[in-house]
Amino acid sequence: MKMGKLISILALVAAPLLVSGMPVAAADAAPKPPKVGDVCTKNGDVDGKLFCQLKNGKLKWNEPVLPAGEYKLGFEALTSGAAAFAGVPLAQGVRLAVAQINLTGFLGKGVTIKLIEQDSGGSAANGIAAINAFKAQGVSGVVCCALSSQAGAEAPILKAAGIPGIIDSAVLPGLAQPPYMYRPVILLGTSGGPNSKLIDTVVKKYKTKSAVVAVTADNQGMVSDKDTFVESLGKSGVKTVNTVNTAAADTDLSGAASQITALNPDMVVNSMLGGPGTRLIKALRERGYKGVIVSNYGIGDQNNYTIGGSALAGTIFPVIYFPASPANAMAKKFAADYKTYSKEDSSIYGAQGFTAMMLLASGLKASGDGNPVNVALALSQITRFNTVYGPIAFAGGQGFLAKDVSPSIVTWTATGTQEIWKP
Amino acid sequence: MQLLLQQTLNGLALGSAYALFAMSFGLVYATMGVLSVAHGAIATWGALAALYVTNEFGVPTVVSVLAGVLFAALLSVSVDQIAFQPLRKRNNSLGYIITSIGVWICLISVGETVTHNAPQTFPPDFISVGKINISSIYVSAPQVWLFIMGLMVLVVLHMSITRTKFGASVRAVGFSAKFSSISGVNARLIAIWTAAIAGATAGLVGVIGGSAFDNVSMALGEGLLLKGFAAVVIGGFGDVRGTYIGGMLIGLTEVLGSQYISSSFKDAISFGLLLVFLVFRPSGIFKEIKFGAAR
Amino acid sequence: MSHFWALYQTNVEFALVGCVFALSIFVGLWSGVLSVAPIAFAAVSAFAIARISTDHPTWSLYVLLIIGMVFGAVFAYLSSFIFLRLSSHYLALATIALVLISRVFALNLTTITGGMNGVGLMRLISFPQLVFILVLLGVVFQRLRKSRFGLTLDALREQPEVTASLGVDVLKIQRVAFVLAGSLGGLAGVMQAQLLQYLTPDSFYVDLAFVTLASAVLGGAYHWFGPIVGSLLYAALPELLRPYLGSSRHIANGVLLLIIMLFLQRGVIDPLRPLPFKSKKTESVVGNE
Repeated sequence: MKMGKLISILALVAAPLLVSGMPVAAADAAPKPPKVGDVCTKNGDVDGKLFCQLKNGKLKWNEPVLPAGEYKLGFEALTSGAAAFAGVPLAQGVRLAVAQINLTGFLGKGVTIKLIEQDSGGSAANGIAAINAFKAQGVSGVVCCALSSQAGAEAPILKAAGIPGIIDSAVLPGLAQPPYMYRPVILLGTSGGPNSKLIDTVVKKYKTKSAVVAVTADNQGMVSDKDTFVESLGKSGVKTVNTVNTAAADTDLSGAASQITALNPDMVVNSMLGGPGTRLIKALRERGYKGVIVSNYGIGDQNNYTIGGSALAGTIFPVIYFPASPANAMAKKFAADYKTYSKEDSSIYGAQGFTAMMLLASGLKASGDGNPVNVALALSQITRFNTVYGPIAFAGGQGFLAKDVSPSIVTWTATGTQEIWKP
Repeated sequence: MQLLLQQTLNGLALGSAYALFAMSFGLVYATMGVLSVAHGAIATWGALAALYVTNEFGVPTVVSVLAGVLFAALLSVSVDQIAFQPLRKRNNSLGYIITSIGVWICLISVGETVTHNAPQTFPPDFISVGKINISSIYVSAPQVWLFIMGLMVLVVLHMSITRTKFGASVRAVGFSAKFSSISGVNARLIAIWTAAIAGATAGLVGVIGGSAFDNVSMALGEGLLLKGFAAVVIGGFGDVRGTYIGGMLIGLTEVLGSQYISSSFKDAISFGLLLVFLVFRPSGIFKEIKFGAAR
Repeated sequence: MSHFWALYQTNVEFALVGCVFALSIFVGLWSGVLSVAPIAFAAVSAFAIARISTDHPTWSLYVLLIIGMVFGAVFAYLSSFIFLRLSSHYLALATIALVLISRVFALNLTTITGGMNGVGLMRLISFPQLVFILVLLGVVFQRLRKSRFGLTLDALREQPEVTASLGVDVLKIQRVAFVLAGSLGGLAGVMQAQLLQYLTPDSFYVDLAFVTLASAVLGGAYHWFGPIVGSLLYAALPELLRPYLGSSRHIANGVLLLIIMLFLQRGVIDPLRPLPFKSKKTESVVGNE
C-alpha cells in the first residue's frame, strides 16, 4: 500500500493547484464501482481500477475527472440555537469554500457544487431529518455534526445510507469512523498534542510548581482536555492542587473564582467552554489573582473579548488558526477571502467549516463520478491534506497536525488582538 | 476561616439573586395562580433593554437600570393582559401554563434573533459603586447591590402585602377574583399592578444579576427560572419571607457545597434539596395557609 | 409525493412519538392531575433499553417496548406514593422538579447512562410499526373512554368532591392513571431512543416536558384524539414555515399556543364543542372547568 499512499499524497496535494487534464482510463465498459476497502495491489488487477493503473510496471495514481455537471453536497448547519455563535462562522466557512470551488473550477471543467444547507438548530432530531432530506435529494456527501450529540445520532444514518460525512466541529473522541465518518477537526487535547506542548513550554518558562484546573464538567470535550492537561502537568512536575468543576449552564462563577484565588496556585489552567471560561478569568483577575492563566483554544473566539475585556490580557493558549497566522499562504488567503465574503473577521470556526468542505470536495473530485460510495472510498485513501492549519495527516479518518507542524502559542492583548506569545 | 467568610458572601449574593427572582415568580404564582415559565425570559429582556440603553445612549448606570426595570414591568403587564387576562374570566387554571409556554417560546425566539445567540455583557464598571476589597475578601459591586436589593424588595413586598390595603386586595384577588370584585376590588387593575411589580423585580435581578455574572443571555433567565422555581418550592410561595429564605438557602448551599463537598454535584445538591422538601415538606418552610372552597 | 415523503419522513416519525408523549400527559390530565412525570420515566426507560438492547442485540423490538413500559409503570407506581399525596399546585411543581432531578441522575450515573458522553443504540423500529403502535393506542383509548374507568376519570376531572362522595376511591383511581401515564411515558421513551439512536442527559428535559404539555393541551385535553392532533400540529408548523422564517420559525409555535388557548380554550378537539353544522348547544355544567 506504500506506493499507493505516496501517489495519493502527491495527487491530493497537487490537486488544489491544478485543473486536471490527465487522461482518463481506457474507455472500455464503465468500471465496476469499487467496494469499500479495495486497495491498489501490486499487479493492478483489482476492482480499484478507478484509482490505480499499472503503467510501465509502476502503479500510477489515475487522476479521476469528474464529468461536467452539478453535484449536490449536503450541509447540516447550526445557524440557530445556543451554539449558533460557532455555527454561523462555520456556515460562512463552508459557503466560502463552495463559492471558491465553483468560481475557480477546482473540481474540473464545467463542474459545480450545489450546496444544500439545512439548519438543525443543534437538535439531534432535526439533524437526522436534515440527513434524510439530503439522502432523498441524492447528495454525494455531507458536512455535518458540529455537536457531539448530533454526530452520535447522525452517524448511523449516514452509514446506513452509504453517504460519507465530514464532521466539522464536534470534539468527542472516537467520532471518526472511516469509511463513512471523517473528522479534519484537530483535537488539541490529544495526549502529547498541542495542549500538552503548551503546558510543557509555559511550565518551563515560569518554573511553575502548582496549578489548579477549572473544567466544564458536563461537557465531554472539556473533560478530556482536562485529563490531558492534568497528565502533562504531572509529567512536567507540577502539582495539580485541585480541579474545580463547573457546569456549562452556571450563572455565577464567583464561588469558583474565590476557591481558586484562595488556593493561589502558580498557574490556572482553563479547560472550560469559551464563554464561561472568559467569565472565570475575569472573576479571577478581579479578585486579584496574579498568576499565569493558560487555556484551551475556546478562549480565542473574538466574542470573548467583548465579554472579558482587558482581563483576558496575557492568557496563553494554543491555536492552529488565527487571522494573523504567520507564514502560511493558504491561511493568509483564507483570512482575506473570508473578510471579503462575510464582512467579518475569520476565526477557528470559519476555518473549520472551510476545511471540512474542502476535504469533502477533494473526496468528490477523487471519486470520479460523484457516487457517494466512491466519495467515501476516496476519502478513506487521503493520508495528507493541505489546510489553513498547514498540512494535516489522516489516521483512521481523524486528522492530526503533520509532525513538522506546530500550533502557534498565542496570547490575548489588552486591546483585544491576539499575538504570538513571546516567552 | 477567611475562605469560609468569602464563600459565604458569594453565597449570599447568589442567593439574593435567586431570592429576588423567586419572590417575583412566587408573587405571580401565589397571588394570581399563574405558573409563568416565561418569567425568566422577562428578566433577561429587562437586562437586554438596560444594555441597549447603555450602549446606545451612554447614560449613567442608574438610568439604564431604571430603563431595564421599567421595560420588564411593561413587558410583564403586556404578557399578563395578552396571555393571562382572557383566561381569568374563564377560570381555567391549566390554560395559564400553556399560554405562558407560548409566551416563553416567543420571547426566547425573538431574544435569540436579536442577540444572534451571542452572550452579551455590560460595559466594565457598569456598577462600580460599593465594591468591597478588604484584605483578601472581595465582593464585587453588583454582588453587594444584589444583596441590598434583595433585602429591600423583601421588606417592601412583605410590608405592602401584609400591611396595606393594596396588599389585602392582592391577596383577595389571589383567593378569588370573583368574590373580591363583589367586595369592590378591581381585580383587573390589581392583576396589572401585580404583574408590573413582579416584572419590575424580575427586570431588576436581570440587570444587576447580568452585571454580577457578566452574562446577559437567554441562559441567564432560564438558570434563574429553574433555581427560582426550586426556591419557591423550598421556601413556600404563600409568604415572601419563606421564598426569600428558600432562595438564600439554595444560593448558600450551592456555593458552600461546591467549596467543601464537591463542585461536581452542585446541581445535584440544589435539586436534591428540592426533592427532599417536596417529599417531606411540600408546603415549604413557611406553610401556606389555605382556606377554602373545594378546588 | 415520494420526494415530499423522503424530505419529511423523519419529522413525521418524531411527531408520532411526540403523540405518545402527549398521550401520557393526557392520561394525567384526564384524572385531574397535572404531571410531567412521564418525561422522567421516559428517560429511565430509554437509558435502560439502550443498555439492554446493546447487551442483547437479538431481542425483538416488541420485547424492548414492553420492558420499557414495565420500567415506566414500576417507577410511576413507586413515585405515586410521593406525588399523589400532594395537592394539585404542589404536584405539578413536584413533577417538574422530578424532571430536573432526572437530568442530574443521568449526568452522574455514568455506568448506566454514559454520563455526558451519552449512549448509543441500534434502531429496530420501522415507520409502519410506529403507526401501528399509535393506532393500537387509539383503539385502547377509545375503549377506555367508553368504559367504566373512563367515565370515572371524566367525573374525577370535573367534580372530584362529588365523585369521592359517591364512594369512588379517588386516590386509587389516580394511582392507576399515574401508572398508566408512566407506562406510556416509558413506551414513548423507548420509541424516541430508537429514533435518535443516541441518548444524552439532555434528551428528556424540561423543554421536552413543556412542549409535550403544551401540545397535549393545545390539541385538547378532553378527548384522547386531542393530544395526537396537538402534537402533529405542533411539529408540523415550524417545518411548514421553514422556507419563510428560517431559523426564527419556532416563534410560530408560541403564537399558535397563544391563539389556540385564547380562542379555543379547551383545545382543538373538544367533544363538547358543537360541530359547525349542528345548532349551538348550551354549555352543560360539566363544561365549566
